[in-house]
Amino acid sequence: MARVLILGRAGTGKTRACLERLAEALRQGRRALLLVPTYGQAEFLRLRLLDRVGGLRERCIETFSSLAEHVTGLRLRGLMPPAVCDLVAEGVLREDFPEAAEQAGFRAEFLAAVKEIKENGAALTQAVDKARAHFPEGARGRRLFDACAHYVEAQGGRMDHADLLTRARDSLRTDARSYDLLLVDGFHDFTGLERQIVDLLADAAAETVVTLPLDPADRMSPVFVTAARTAAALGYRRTVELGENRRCTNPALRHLEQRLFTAVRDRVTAADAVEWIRCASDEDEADRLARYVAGSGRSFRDFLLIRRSWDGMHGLYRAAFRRHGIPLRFFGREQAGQTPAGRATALFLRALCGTAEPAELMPLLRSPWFYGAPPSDQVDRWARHLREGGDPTEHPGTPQVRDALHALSALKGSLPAVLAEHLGVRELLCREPDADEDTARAGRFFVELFAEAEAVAGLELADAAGRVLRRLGSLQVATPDRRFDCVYGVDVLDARQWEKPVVLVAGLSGESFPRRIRQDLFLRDDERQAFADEQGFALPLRARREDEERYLFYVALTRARERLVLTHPAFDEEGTPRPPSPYLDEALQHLDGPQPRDVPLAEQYVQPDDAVSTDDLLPIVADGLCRAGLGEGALAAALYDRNAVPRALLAWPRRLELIRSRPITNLPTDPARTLSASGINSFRRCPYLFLMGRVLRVRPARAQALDPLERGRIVHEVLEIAAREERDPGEIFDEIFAEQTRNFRLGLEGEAARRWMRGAVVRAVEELRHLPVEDVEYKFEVPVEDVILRGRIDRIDRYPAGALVRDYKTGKQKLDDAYAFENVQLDTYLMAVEDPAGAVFELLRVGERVGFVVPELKDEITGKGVQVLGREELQARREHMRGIVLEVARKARAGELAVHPRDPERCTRTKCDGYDLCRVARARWLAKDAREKQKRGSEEAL
Amino acid sequence: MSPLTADQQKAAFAAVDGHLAVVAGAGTGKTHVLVERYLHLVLDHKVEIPRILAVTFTEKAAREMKTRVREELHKRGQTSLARTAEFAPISTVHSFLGLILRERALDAGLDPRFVVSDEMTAQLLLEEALQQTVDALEPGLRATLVGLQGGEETLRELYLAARATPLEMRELRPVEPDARLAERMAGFLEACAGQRAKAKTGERLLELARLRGQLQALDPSLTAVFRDLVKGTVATAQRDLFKEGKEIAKEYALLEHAEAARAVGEAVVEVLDRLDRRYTELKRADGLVDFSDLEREGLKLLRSDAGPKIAAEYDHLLVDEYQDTSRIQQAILDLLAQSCRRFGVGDEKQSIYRFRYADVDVFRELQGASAVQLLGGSFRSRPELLSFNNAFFRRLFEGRNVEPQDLHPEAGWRDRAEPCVEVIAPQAKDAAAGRRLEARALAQRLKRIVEGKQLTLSRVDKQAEPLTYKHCAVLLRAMTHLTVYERALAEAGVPYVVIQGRGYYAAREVVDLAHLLLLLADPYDGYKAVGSMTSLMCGVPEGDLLQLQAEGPLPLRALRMERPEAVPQDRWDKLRTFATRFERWRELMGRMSTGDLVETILRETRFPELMLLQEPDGRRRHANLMKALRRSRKHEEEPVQYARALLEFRERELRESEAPIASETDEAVKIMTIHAAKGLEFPLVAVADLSAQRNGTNPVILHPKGLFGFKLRAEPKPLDPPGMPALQEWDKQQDKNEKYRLYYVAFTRAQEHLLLTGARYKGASRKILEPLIEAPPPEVRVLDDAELLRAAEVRGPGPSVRGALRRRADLPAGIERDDAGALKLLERIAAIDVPEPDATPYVAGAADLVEFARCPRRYRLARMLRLDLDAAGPAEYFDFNRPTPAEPVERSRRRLGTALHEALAEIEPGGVPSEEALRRHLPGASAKELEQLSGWCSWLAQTPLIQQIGGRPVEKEMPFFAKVGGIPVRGVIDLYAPDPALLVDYKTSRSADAEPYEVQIAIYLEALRALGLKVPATGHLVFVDAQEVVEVEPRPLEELVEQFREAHRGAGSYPPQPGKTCDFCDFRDVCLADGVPVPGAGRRPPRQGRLPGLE
Repeated sequence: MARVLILGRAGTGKTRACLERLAEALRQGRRALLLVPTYGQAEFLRLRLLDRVGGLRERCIETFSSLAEHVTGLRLRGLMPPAVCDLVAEGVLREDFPEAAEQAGFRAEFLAAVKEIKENGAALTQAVDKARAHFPEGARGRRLFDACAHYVEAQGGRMDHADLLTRARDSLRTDARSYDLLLVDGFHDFTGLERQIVDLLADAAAETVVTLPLDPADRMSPVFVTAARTAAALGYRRTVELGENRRCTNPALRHLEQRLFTAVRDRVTAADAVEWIRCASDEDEADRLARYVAGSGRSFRDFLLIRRSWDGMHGLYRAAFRRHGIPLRFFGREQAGQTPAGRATALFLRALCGTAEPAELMPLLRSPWFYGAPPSDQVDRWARHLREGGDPTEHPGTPQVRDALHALSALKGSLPAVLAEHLGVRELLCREPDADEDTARAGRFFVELFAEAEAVAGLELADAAGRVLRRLGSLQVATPDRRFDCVYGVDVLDARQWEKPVVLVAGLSGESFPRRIRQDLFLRDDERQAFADEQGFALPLRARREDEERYLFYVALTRARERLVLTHPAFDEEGTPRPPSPYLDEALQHLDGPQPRDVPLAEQYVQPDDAVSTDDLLPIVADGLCRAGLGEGALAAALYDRNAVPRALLAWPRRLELIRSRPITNLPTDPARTLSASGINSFRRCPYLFLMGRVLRVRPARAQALDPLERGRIVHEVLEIAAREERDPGEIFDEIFAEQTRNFRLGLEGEAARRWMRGAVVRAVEELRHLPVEDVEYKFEVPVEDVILRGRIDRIDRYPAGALVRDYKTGKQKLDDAYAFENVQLDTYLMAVEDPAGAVFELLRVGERVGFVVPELKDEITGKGVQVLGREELQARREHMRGIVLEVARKARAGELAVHPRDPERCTRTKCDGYDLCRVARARWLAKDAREKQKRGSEEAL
Repeated sequence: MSPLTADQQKAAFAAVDGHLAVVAGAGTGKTHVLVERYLHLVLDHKVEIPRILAVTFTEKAAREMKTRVREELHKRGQTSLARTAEFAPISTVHSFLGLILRERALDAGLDPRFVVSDEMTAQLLLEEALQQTVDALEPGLRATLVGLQGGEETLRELYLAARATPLEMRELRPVEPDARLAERMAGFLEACAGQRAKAKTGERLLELARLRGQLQALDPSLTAVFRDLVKGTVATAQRDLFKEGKEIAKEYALLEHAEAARAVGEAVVEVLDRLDRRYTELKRADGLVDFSDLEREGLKLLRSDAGPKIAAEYDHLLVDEYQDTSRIQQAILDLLAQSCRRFGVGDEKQSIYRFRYADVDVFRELQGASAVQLLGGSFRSRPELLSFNNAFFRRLFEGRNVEPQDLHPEAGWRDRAEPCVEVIAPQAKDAAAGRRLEARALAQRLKRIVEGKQLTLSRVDKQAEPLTYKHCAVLLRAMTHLTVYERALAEAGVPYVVIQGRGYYAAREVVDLAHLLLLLADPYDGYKAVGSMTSLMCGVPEGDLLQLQAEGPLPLRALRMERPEAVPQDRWDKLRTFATRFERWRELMGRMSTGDLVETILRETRFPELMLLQEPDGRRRHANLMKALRRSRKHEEEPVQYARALLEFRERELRESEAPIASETDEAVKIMTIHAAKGLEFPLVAVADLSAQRNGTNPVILHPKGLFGFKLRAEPKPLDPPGMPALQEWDKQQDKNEKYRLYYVAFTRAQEHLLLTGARYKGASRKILEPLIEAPPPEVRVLDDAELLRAAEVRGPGPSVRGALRRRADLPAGIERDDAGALKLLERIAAIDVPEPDATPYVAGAADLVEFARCPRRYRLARMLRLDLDAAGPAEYFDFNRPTPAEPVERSRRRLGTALHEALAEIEPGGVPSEEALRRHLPGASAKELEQLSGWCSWLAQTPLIQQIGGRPVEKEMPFFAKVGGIPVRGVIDLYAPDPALLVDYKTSRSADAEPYEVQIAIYLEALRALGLKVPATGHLVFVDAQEVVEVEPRPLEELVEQFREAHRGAGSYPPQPGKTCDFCDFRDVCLADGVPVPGAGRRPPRQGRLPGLE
């Protein structure tokens, strides 16, 4: 009945002492058990034990869970899955907390509270009685305990994790397992239930040894507050005090370990033992750490990467490390049934056999393993659907999910089909480009499982599934061997058993380490305290977790043997500075030396083998050399030092010409046999735009909306009909408008547009109806040497003096603008009619007219912007236009399609269709200059 | 921490049982006092740390305060208190509210695990809510609402503004006609009656007086009369009176559509209320809470039964930056302060968050309700600077209801003779030109100060080091014209870094990525195909895409067709790689999460790395892509939705910070907004764009009391509802005050030196700079325009890139054959200076001109960038890991050529060099080479041309240096016989194509002329290999020389001249004549051809 406490700081060999004793006991044939906190630790220690004893016959290293399984003969997989717990909780809360039952977050808090109460170790009925005595009717505490009791009722015998431990405790009470040696390692705190189990085991054991991380010389050390409390609670008199830290080979690290969070202020030089790297953002941090590992020249296995929490960071780090070709794994439990693949497989099988709870199917659907990941709202909608009693195979959401469900139901009752499907899974797995080795290994494992099931011919689906499920429960996917050459990422909670030559501790910013602890939703600390004082029902206080944070930091920093790299992201996503963790500050007070290192990223990037291969560099170098806008100096500078860039950029203005003259290559020899007025306009505005729109024929996708193009189309159509039919223009408009906008949402703006369009159209029709119309929507093709000029004229009126061409404009153009940019269009129309007497734009929205007419029409065609031109002038314009057509055609054929905006004002996203394609972004900048220069020039000329 | 001043002590140690408002001017140690107060409470009054609530308005301030409290406690040996302080309630008002809302979720009726939605999600939900609300409107209401100018857009704006007030939507009121209008009019006419007006105006006044009876009814028919009235001219003395008249008239005219305005206004209120409910429903369904919900729900919670309990948890409330409090925050603080002592620190002159609905009056009200303590000692700025700011802002704030408060220096400063404020105000034609001038002058001034070491840091407790770029900040009110300043600094060679640009959604790389994701969903979208394929993710030019003429999605065509001839193999490979990837990405799209897909794309294409290498601002671009990746993980939507959202936010011009890069340690000038500079200080501050004038009025105005203004839709111009002008005037004044406060913040960031810049042009704001220019105070120097601008015109390259890079990398002078990788290549490139403009005298080699004439592109690469390595072809050049291949044919030929020339120089024309001589000139030659060489020599000796020269006096290998077309040219003439004049040049190329050499002959002839020698009319080329002699006419040189000169000025272009020799060109790989080269191009098999180079 000897009970011993082994006390020691980090690295003093507590675990080693346990292992030695365990090995010794086993060698002597004694019954011994080592309890450790996590599955991963158990697995790891089993390996280390094997080194000592050669072979193990029984389970002698356990976690509380696995011990409970062992003692009770129950299996974790038989426990209520979380989704089911959630459903049960929801039912209970509808009665007890109707105001919040719908909230998923509230249910989760409630389940956590239930767990906490159960783990307290007291019988629930007692606890409820006490709560009834303590809390007045209607108080939140009272309601909580009532709800908790209801929850247990609603469980109806199904068990959750805390129940499993309770069951184990109860069974130990009646049927004590006696060990010759009981070792408890790696804890510094126990829940009530765990304490009871340890006590029961210890009572029956010949010798009990509990290790605690505690400084024998200074039990009040702020780091070990919790452990000291645990030691006091255990009350073991005999202690073994371990001395020296033997883990850290570097004296500075040892010093840090001893001094951390103490008031002693003797600094030692950190030399190369500790590095502090200040990073920009989380992304930057992941990237730099990856670079650090890549550039260190050490094996990957020498590194351990610790964070306070990996929430939302897995992907980021995986990606960053993968980019640098560094294998990174996150350490965690790897029980077959627990891996994502395993869970999905089990669910899938249960779903097929109809034994799965509907709510459980959600993760299945979410699993990329099977059907891709439907967005969460889809899944939630489906969950709602299920809760409301809907058919599980009827999914209210995407066809993707619906199909998946149908496929699933179709598979029922047909084992070969199931297997075929799973062979499909294998296929999928093999093609998965991202499948890392772990996934692949798990995938292979499951495929083998199915092969196994398949081997038993003629099995019923349920039997086969049952087999696989049983195997899943008993098998374990081996914990990744630490000797494998990769970097491990661990949560600081899991870091306790690790030690590595180099430890990287990331995310040391003020707000993430220590974590902010908030008060419990149901029972605040003061309420807990009062409850404990009065009723003796002691739930843990939140405040205790604050001490815990400090200990966790201590754990993180004491994992390293040789070197410690501490990093902190200096900005959050919004660019607001983040101070480093206060713990980091404290740690650094004990060291001389580490200053934040802030390596310009670019400096590191030039390593060709690092980020970019020579192959990648070649085009960049060449492109940088030759592509105007970024000169060679800028290129090199960009690679070296961002600050040198501006200096190199001075070459830009001089290169404007280059930008403009660089032809886009490989043009077809004859991109423009036919040209239209708008094509010519487009070319004149910017040849690049012409290339995109007319040669490559790509246009930005238009949203279904009443945009200017659509508005123009409607107005043209109405005016065309109105010119042909003597109907009420308003009526025609309404008809066409309804027809054209049937498919999209108009909104208030659309409605407003409809109003003015109607007004403008009616006004225009009234005005134009009685004029001598000759043709509307007149299509023409006019040969100009070997170019065919084509287009469509909105309306031609026949006057004695000749044909007057009208073109409708529906934009908000100002008179000058309309004239400046569109007049080529009018000139083009001049070429299309035999005897032109003028051409005008009808600016419908503005209610104005712009253009030119022969003197005879001067009184008939009036408008602010209408000029009177003689026939010779008209002829001259036609000739001029002819020249333009030929020139445009020539240039287009010659491939002179560089970016050359005529009107830089139009180089904006809203005004240029090619904006997103045009890569000569600088041109936009520089063109502005050119315009100014031009302006100045013309002013000077005047 | 330094000891407290008397003022600071008074504030920090003031009685702890009362409320106190501390008015703390810029740099007076506000945080210091706050921290001391905190410590005073904790240490001297033994207040428990959890019972002191400290609230700030920015994360930055909260984090800083917490850190300082903790540090101080440590320093004072209070270790255990310091540890408690790690969890002390010191936070922003929002995170405090978030905390209480979670802890008391049951009271608040919220999900305790609510997620505070980011901007993106909140915007999407709001949009959805807005559409649903508008679509569900009854026809009547809808028809009315169409009369609201801006429609949905206006509703959204107004909604967002209203949410920052403690008001419910129902409590909003549309702007109303001035109820006192008739009264005002009566008063006005009364006043007019006594005035002597000009005849016409007088008549109108009389008419108005006659109509007085109708005024009570506000008859709109009076409008016309008013309109006339306000056109009238009046004497200066009457200006104010008539201003009032005009205002009344304007308001009067608006009454015409009072009815319509009222209807629209009411409809707006109704719809906002519905929108609010819908939006809240949508958020709650997803367990989301947006930023302003924190305030609204927090206020609700504090007003509920739980409120007093929450407030009772604290004895003291410390508030930082009180002047930045909004009305809703004020309500929250008041509730919290019910049972505790409030200690508020602020400075109304530094209230600059009106756009975030801060209300400066809140702090004034606090001062009214508490004891007040002023802090007047500035630790930040030099005495001269303080006295300048004191005087300047006293004048500026005059009549603006701001209590002037002078600051005096606290820190010690070394003396400085020069003025510490400089004004740069160039004259210009218009705003744009002005800004450019101003920016250039500013850049030049900064450069001069730093590079001329004109300023030395002068605080006595700091070292007297010269001021460098990292000590300088350029502050701007808005980033609208950022590029102008960026560019000016770039031109001047001043390094700079932009702190926190806000153009994340519009960033090119983000758009490219969005395009690709959308293309995956719709591979037929040609536009997005071109967008993503011309980006570095694929990296082919547009022209190549044009060649993919086939059916089907553009990216995949490359997999379904043969390589078109026009697309070279290397780029074809690139296309196919992209297409293959594209196909797989499409498969993955349904199965992978958005984040994984984005990651796959980025990883496989190396897009981020390429950005880093390619773009001048590569670090930022790289970081933006990483941000996009991160974001894509956060949002569980499908890739398509994610991408669409990205583009849509850009369309709506939403501002989102670009990804941060760690840059403040950079040796660079920081450009940032004044808002971003709040709380910072710099030795030198330049406040730029001081004459920018904002025109126009805000279309949507919300008064804190709930009155809102809007516009009515009308063609051609929207109309104001009655009452709007007054509201606009109020808004304008608020804006103006805010602007001045903003300048106060900007000016007071400076420690030692202040540069104030703004151009003077017609329409520029004159309020800030003009008085300083007209009557400069002693601290101010107005810089001479002319001098600065002269400096600005010289666009020298600044310190050479080479120098900078040399220092960093310690480069060898030339590139070595055994260099370890492309790094060396880059060094080599970096070592080449950008050609100086007008770099004279330029000495050209004759071969240079010949090369230029043949292909300017090649000339640039080979001769200007000196990428031609005699020893190595490009393949080896780029691929250093490759084993040295057998010597290529063309190199052998080049050596043969040299040997031939050397050997012939030793003997008389017509002779044959001895075998020994040949060996000497061609060391290590193979028998085959020797045979070829001697073959050439013996053929040459027999040609009639050479025989004809035999025995005559000749010049062999004659060097010359002469001006050709004005350019000094060096060269060597192979053989020249003066009498009769004869010019011979030996060529070893295989074909006897003389055309490329016409230029050479012309140059030689020109040189002979310049040397005063007899000049033959033609030259002779002797092709020894082809065994032919060709007589060549010289080609006119004028145009060529001109182009050449242009090219060297840096203004010219270097167009490639493709021809049959391109296949043999060393630079084929890097020439963009047909596009961007691709990876692996350097790996092609050794060429069998030959190089028609110059010998």
